[in-house]
Amino acid sequence: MMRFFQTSPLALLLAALPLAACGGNIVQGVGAPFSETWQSDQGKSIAALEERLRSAKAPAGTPVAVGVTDTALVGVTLPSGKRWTHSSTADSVPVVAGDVVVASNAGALFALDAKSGRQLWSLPIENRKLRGAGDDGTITVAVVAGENPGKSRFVAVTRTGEVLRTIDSTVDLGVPTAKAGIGFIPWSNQYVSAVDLKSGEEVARLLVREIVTQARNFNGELWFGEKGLVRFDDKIRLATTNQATHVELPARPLPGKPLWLGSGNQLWPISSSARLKIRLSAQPAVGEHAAHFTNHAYLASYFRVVLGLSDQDGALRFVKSLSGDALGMSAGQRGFAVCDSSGKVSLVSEKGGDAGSADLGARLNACTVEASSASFEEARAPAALAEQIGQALGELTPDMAVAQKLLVDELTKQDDPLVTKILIDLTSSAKIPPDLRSAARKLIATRRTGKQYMLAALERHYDYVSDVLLPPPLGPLADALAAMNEVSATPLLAHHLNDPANEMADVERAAAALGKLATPAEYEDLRTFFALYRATADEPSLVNAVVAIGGALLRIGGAPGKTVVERAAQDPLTQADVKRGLGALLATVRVAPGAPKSTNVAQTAQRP
Amino acid sequence: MLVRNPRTLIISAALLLSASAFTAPPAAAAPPAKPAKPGPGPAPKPKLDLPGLQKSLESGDSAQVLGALDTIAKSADPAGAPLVEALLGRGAGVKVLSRAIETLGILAQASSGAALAPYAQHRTPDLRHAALHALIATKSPLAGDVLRRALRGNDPAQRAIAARGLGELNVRAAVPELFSVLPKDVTEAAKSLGQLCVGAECEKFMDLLGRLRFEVMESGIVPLLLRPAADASDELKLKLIERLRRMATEPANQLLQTALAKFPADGSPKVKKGLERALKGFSATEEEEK
Repeated sequence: MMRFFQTSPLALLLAALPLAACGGNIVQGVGAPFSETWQSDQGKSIAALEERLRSAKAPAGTPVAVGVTDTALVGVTLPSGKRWTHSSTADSVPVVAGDVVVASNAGALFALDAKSGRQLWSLPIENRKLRGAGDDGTITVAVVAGENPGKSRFVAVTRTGEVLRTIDSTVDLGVPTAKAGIGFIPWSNQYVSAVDLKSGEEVARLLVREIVTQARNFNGELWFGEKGLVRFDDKIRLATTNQATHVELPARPLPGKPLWLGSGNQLWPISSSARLKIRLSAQPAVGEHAAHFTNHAYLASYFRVVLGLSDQDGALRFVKSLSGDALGMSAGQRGFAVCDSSGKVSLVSEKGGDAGSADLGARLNACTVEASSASFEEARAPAALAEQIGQALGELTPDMAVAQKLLVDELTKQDDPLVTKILIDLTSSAKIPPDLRSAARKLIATRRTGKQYMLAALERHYDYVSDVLLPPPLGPLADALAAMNEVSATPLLAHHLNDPANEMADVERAAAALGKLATPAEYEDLRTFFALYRATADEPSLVNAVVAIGGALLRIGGAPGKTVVERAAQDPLTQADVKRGLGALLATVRVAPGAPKSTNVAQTAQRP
Repeated sequence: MLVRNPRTLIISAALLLSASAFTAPPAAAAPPAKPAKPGPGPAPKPKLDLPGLQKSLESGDSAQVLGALDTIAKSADPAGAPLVEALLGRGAGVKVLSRAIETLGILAQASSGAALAPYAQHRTPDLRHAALHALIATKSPLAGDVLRRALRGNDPAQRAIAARGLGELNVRAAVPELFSVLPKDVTEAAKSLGQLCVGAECEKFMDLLGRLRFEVMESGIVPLLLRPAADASDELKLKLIERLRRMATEPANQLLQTALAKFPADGSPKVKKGLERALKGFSATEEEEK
């Protein structure tokens, strides 16, 4: 076996000499993989290899979802195949390579038939775990590694379990793939060595001017990179000058800062960490003019919520709420597949509609999905985006504030009147953290559509008996309705004035709105409020509210209303600030009869 | 004025009664109330100087207003109630309002309910609580609805007063709401349910024994055991007695003793015997013994 010493070519040579006599797996000379003495050939060798392999087709992955439970692997072919079980679990996330599922557990690397779960082979890998795998239809390649960096091993195994090649390396090897007997192995974050799996010779090398730790097969096409990918096609020789066929997801802030492929130099151990649940998924493809992503979209997972985003600008296209945390995702030719911790595999159309589902039948610790060749037909169109966002917001738990904020921001970009309802619901949900509730309240005040939802919310009051334990967002609703000149809201607003369950600041805003909108029909409610608080107002907002209602009484109450306000303004028992405010109001009325001044509603619109 | 929202009816009624707050003398706004019940003492009540008291109550001077309220409260003369109701209709500072509400509670006039009702929703908790207590004392026809609404509020003390009052005022319509709040830490609902339940409702109440904490339930048990047979059957009471006996705890035993001590002379002999047997450690029903 070859051991590669990264630091010195001399050391490499010294190490290689005694090992050269050990057998057929040995690679040596200039063509040895991972040699640091290699001189850039300006893409010639990789271009020649691409041309040689162009007519060969790497197999697309079998559409399958594979879940990891505490004791077993469970699989189901997609869209709705038969479920299989393999009676051994995995210690890192399994990989679907062609029609093989590769996994590791307890010091063994093993392969299963993706359609049936039947074990094809198993081989010892000591204390290493699976890092990544690929398959060319007859030979499976894999990189296994220990927890410590620098102990990577590359293996190539036939379907019958014969080990064609084993290469141990002291540099970290990334996720490999294979095509037509050639293994493609990224290393040193910079190179992809193309190794003839039979001879062990490095037959070509690709130098990429961006980080490359992944060699991937998407629907039979090979791509190399990590954050961005270059395609293994007739332009691959231009990779050194950044002119190869290239794709990259648009940059945009997302909750949890998810990665697409992530570093191929890392293990993906089975754990409950958030790393498995916050991911991106996309499949590169080539159109007539340029490379893009299938569905013109990609997925971003954040625990129980999956976002569908435009591959052009990252704009939100759809939102899916899951029954468990998203553990595995795959973009198909049309549509997506998402596997969650409940064992459900949700199939999603390219527009975010329901395209069916499959069930792995068990709660999962990890899951991998391969759907790069699949197309999922939409069975049910998606709801309006605002509605999808609303549902997702309901699914999030209070500790997922970042995702909630993102969704609320997205919500406000929508014109749909339903947005108003969703924002109101947010302010009424105990699951929503206070910061977000406050943000939603601010946004409600700026809404100018969804009147019916605003009125419906105002019908509601705090009700301990019926478990309505949060009053509606009275203040923001009052601001919005006042700005909309919505007179039909006045009886509801007036009734809320006298409900002590409402926050005082909200009552103040309702009073301000009534100062503008109230009609004679609300006279009694307004007069009650005025009588109850003109002498008991003990805080500025209550004083403002009483004065605003005083203004409304002057405007709509006729002579009786004016008398009530005038006498209150003279009564020594009336609270001093209220008295001053009423005096000012009456002075305004005397100056300009019929035009009493009321509190400017717009002044309160910025408050939560 | 047109009142579009039916939930405002109570408040509107209150205000209509005292709509003259600043426009007409209270005496003209509401006729002198008739006492809801005979005066508490045999001594003849002093005749109140109503015009003088009205002047004081409208003086705008807190000391004068409080003095007038004291005079009315001490007299316990229902004739003073309309003056105090008018004061509530006009509004005043917290101290004055508090005394006025208390005074109406002392006068206990059903007609005062309309003036008190809005204060059961005042933002100042003490005023709210005082208004609820006073409403219960007046036995106003409005009190039931006001208490039911108060039971829905966000103030635990208010809910407790309301729950208790609903039982005291025999507001049968509130039974479903009382069942709803009982498991939610409104322990006062238990006593009222013990006083109000009928037939299947009593069964439902009894079924909660063991599912809710004993301390939540206990205040309703004795009232239930003392209810007439028409409301709660002997069979149900004997079942309840037997369940308490089987609990074999000191608090359960004390409840049985209390029920026996308070057992009405005309109560069911079967139930009384059941209590006696349970306290001696025997089954409440002889049949079960056999």
